[in-house]
Amino acid sequence: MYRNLGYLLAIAIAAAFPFLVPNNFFVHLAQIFAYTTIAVIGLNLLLGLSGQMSLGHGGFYALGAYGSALLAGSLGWPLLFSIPAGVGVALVAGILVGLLCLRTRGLYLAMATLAFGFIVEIAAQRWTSLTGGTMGLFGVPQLDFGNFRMGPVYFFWFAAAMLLLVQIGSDYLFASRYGRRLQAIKESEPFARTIGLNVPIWRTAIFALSAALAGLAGALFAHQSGFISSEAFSIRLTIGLLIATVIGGLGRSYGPIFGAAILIGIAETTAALHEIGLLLYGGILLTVILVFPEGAIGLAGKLIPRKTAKAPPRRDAEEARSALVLPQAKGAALDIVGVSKSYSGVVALSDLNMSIRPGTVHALIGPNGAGKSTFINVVAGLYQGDKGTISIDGKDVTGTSAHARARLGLARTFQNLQLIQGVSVLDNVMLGVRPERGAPGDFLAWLAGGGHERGERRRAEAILEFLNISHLRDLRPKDLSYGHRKLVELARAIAQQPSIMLLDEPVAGLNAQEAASIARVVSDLRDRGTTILLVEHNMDFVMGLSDRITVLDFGHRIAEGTPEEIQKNPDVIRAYLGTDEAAA
Amino acid sequence: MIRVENVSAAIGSVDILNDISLAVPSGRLVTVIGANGAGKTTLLRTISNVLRPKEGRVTFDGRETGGIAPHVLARQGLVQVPQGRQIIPNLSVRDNLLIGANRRETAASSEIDEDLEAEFARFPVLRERQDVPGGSLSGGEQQMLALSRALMMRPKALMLDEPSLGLAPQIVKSILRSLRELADSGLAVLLVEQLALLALDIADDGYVLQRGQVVMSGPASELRRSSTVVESYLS
Amino acid sequence: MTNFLQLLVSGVAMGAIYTLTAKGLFIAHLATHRLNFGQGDFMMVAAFLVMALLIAGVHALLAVILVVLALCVMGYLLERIAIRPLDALAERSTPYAWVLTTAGIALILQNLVELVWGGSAQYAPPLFSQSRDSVVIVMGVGIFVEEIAIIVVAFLVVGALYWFLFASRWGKAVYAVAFNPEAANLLGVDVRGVIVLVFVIASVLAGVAGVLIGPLVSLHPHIGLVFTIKALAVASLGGFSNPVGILIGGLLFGVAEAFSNYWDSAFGDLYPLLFVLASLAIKPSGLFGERHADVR
Repeated sequence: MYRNLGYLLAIAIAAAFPFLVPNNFFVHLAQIFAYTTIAVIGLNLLLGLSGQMSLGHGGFYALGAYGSALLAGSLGWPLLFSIPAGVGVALVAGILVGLLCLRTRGLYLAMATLAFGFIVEIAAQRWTSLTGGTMGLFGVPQLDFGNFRMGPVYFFWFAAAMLLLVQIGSDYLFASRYGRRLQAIKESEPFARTIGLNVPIWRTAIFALSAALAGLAGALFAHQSGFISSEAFSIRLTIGLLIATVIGGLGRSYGPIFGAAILIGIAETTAALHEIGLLLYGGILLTVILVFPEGAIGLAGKLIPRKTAKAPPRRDAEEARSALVLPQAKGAALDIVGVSKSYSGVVALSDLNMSIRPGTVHALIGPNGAGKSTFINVVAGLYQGDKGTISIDGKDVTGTSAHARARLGLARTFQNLQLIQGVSVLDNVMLGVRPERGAPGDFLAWLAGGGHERGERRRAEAILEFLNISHLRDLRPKDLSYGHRKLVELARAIAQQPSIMLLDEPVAGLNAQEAASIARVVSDLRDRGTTILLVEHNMDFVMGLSDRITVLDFGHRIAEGTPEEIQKNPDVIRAYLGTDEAAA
Repeated sequence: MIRVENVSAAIGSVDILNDISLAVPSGRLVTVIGANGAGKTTLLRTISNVLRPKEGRVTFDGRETGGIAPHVLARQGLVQVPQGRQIIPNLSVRDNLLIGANRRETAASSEIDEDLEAEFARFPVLRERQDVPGGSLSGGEQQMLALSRALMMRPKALMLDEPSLGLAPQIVKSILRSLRELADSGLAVLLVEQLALLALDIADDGYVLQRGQVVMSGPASELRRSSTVVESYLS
Repeated sequence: MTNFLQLLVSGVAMGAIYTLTAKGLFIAHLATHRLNFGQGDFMMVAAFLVMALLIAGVHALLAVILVVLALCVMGYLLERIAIRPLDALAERSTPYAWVLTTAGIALILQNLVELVWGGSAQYAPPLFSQSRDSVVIVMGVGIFVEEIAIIVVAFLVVGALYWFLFASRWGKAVYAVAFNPEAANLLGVDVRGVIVLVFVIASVLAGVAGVLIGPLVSLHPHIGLVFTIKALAVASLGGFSNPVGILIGGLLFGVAEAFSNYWDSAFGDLYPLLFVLASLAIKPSGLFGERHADVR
C-alpha cells in the first residue's frame, strides 16, 4: 500500500513540477531526467538483476531515436505509432544481439555489445542520406500535442508517465518470482536449470527488454527538441548510462532514479568544465566501482540503520512437524541403462545400469572419484552421457535438457550448496514453489498489494516450518550455519514437489544430531511417495535409510543390494579401505 | 620438519578445523586419514598458508610460517601435491615438470637436467611420454607426474592430498611405495588419504581426523590393528 | 595487380597491428580471465608519445625505448588501480567490474591526451624512412617502406612473445596460473607477480602497436576504441585461448578489411567486424576448449 501511495505522490509531484519551477530550463532538465531514467532502468535490470554486461546500450538508444524520428519525419507517421515502432526496432536488435551472445557470455557479450554500439554509431555518422550524420536531422516532429507554448510541459508529462509505468514494471520484476529467477540465473546457471528455467530464453528476454527500454528513451529523446545528430550516440552515452546505473545502486529497483539524477546533476554542474568531461566520467566510474560499489542507495542504507530481521522463537521440532501435512507425492521410476561418460580420455562412468523403483530410497556410494557426481549430473541433465539411456517412468529423457527434466518432476540438491545469496532464505525456497497464478494475475495481485504470492509464500513457510527453520526465513543464506544451509537447500528441493529427488551428500559436514533429523525428513518424504536417489559418504545414514544400495568404483558398478548385503560384500570393503583383506 | 600446534581454521563462517596438533619429522611418513568432509584438505591448505589459521601456529623447518606467502613457502621446500593432481593439460609432460624446476631461479640448467633424469628414472613412463600434453595422460600417469613435478622443487617436506583419488589399487600401491622410499631417503612426508588401511600400511605414524578434530593418533601399525579406526572411518 | 599487391601489404600491415593489440588482450585474459578494455587507448597513448619525442628531435631508437618503458609503467598502474582492488571487494563488487574500471582508465587517458595534444588529427613522422610516403619498388609495384617495416617488427615481437610463452619459465608460470591459481601458488609460482607481468606485457604490446601505427594513420585522442573493438574481434577469432588462431585471424582481418575498404569506401571497415560477430554465434568460445568446472 505504501508503494501505491508512493506512485500517487510521484504523479502529484510530476503534475505540479512545471508550475513550481522558475523557468522552462528546469522542465527541460526534468524531461532529460525522465527518459534517461528509463534507459538506466533497462541497464539496471540487465546488469543488476541478470548480471549481463552491455557496452552497447547507446546503440539501442540510437535505434529507437532514429527509428521513430525517421518514421515520423520522413514517412509522416503519427508519433503514437512511430515511438512504439522505434522501440520495436530496438527490441528486435536486442533479440538479435542477445541471440548472438547466447552461447557466448561474459567477455563475449561485453565485446559484442561494444562492437554493436560502435557499428550503430558509425552507421549513423556515415549514412548521411538517411541520418544526416553529424550535421543532424532537422525538423523531427516534436511531441507537443499540437500546443507549441505548453509543448515542453506536455512532453515532460508524457515522458514522466512512461517513466512511472516502467518504474512500476521494474518494481514488479524486483518483487516477483521473475526477479528471483533472474537472480538465480545470475548467480548459478546450473542451479537455475535444475529448477526448471530455460536459461537461454530468460537471458535473451531480459536482454531484449533492456534494449527496448533504451530504445524508448532514445525515441523520447528524438522528439524532445526536434533535432538529433549522430554526435549524441557515441560511446560516451553508453558510459554515461552505465555510470548512472552503478552510481545509483546496482540491483536496486530505485537505484536508476538516484543514478540518473546524480548523473544529470554532475553533467550540469560540470558543463563549464567541458574540456575535462571524460576525465571526470572516468574518475567517477573508478571511484564509484572501487569505493562505493553499492552506489547511492547502498550508501544511504549504511547511514540509516536497518531493522534487523528478528528470529521468532524456535518451536519444538515434533510439534512443528505435526503441524504440517506435506502433500502426497506420486513417485516415479528412474531407469538408467548402459550410461557411459568420459572426459578427455578419463572414464568417469562405464556402462552403468541402475533401476530405481518408485517410492524407494536408493543410495549410490563409492570412494571419492568413483564417478558419483558425474552420475548425478548426467541424471539431472547438466551433462550429456556419451552412451546409454535415462528414462523417467518409462519416458525416455536422455536427450532432454536439465530444465525439461526438472519440469518432469526431477529435483536435486547440490553437494556445493547452490543457494542464491542475493535473496532471503524464504525466497530461496520460493524459487522451487510452482506459481499459482499466471503473470497477469500475479501482477494485478501485486499492484493491489497484500495478497501477492500469498499462497506460494505460505507453502514455502510451511516447508521451512516442517524442517524447523522458519525462524531463519528473512536471513540471507550466507548468514546461516552450514547445517542450516543444507536444510534450506533441501527445503527448496521439497518445494518443487518432485516425483524423484536427487540428494547429493545431504549430510556431509553435519553433526550426528543434524544428520538424524535429515534422515527423518528423507524417510518422511519416501513415506509420502517420493523416489529418492541418494549419494552420501556417511554410512550410518546410508545403511539406516536405504532400500537398496549401488556401489560405484572407477565408474563401474561393483555391487548392488540391500544394506545388509552391501555391508558384507568384500569388494565394497576393499574399494573403501584400499586393502586386499576384508577389514574386521 | 612440519609442526602444527593447536590450529583451528574456518572457511567463511564455517569452522572446519578445531584445535589440531601434529608433527611430521624428517625421514618419517605421517598419514592423516578421515572421511569426506573431515577437514583433511583444509588442513593441508592451512599448513601451506593458502588459508590463514584462525588460531594456533604452524612451523616449518623450525620457523613459524605465519605471514610467509604460499609460493615462498613452496620455494623454501614445503611442497604440496594438491588434490586432483592439477596437471596443466595443454603443457607437455616435460614442461609440467619444468614448472616445478623453474622456481629454483639460481639453479644451473645442468642441475635441472639431472633432476629431470632422476624423475624419468623414477617413473620411466614419463620419459616415454615427455612430449605429449599433460592432459592426455591417464590418471595414474598424471599422479606420477604430479609427484615428480613436486620433487623437481627439491622439497624438504612433501604433502599429498589424496593421491589415490580415482586410481586403481595397484597404481595407488606403487605410488605409495614411492612415498615410502622418499621418506626413507630423509624427506618428511605428510599423506592425506581416504583409503585408510592402505595408507596405514606404509606410514610410520597416523592421525584420524573426524569433523575437524584429531580423534586418534599413534604409530600407524597400532592404528592398523585397532578396529575402531575402521569403524570411525566408515561412519 | 598493382592494387592487389599494395592492398595486400597494407592489409597485412594493419593485420599485424591488430594481432599485436589482440595478443595483449589474449595474454591478460589467459592468466586472469580479465583484460584491458582500454587496450586501444594504451596504443593511442604510445603513438602520441613517440610522435612527440620524434618531433622533439629525440633519436628514434631512444624514443621507442622510452615509450616502451612508459607503457610498462602504465600496465603496472592499470593492474594496481583497475584490477587488484576488485579482488578485495570480492562479492560486493559489480559484475564485470573490470570492464568498467579499465574503460574508466581509457576515458581518462583520452582526456589527458586531448589536453596535451589537442583534439584534432595529427601526423606522426615516419620511424624507418625519410618521409611517410617513401616507397620501394617490388615487382614493379611501389610498396610503402613503413608498411614493410611494420610487418617485420610486428613479426619479431610476436616471435618474442611466443618464445616467452612456450620456451621461457615465465610462460609456463602463466599457463600454471591460467589453469589454477592456487595450485600454481603451491608450486612456488608468485601468482600476483604473474598477473602484474601479463598486464605489463599486454601494455607493452599495445605500446609497440602504437609506435608502429603512428606513421600509418592520422592520430587523434579517440582513435583507441576502434582498435580495442577490432583487437577484441581478432582475439575472439582465436577463442581467446589459441595464440596461433589469433595470429592468423589478425592477418586475415587486416587483409579482409583492406579489400573491403577498397570495394566499399563508405562502410568497408564494418564488414569484417560484422563477419566476426556472426561467426561468434556459430562458433562459440566453447569450441576452443574452455575449461568447465565440475558441477557438484
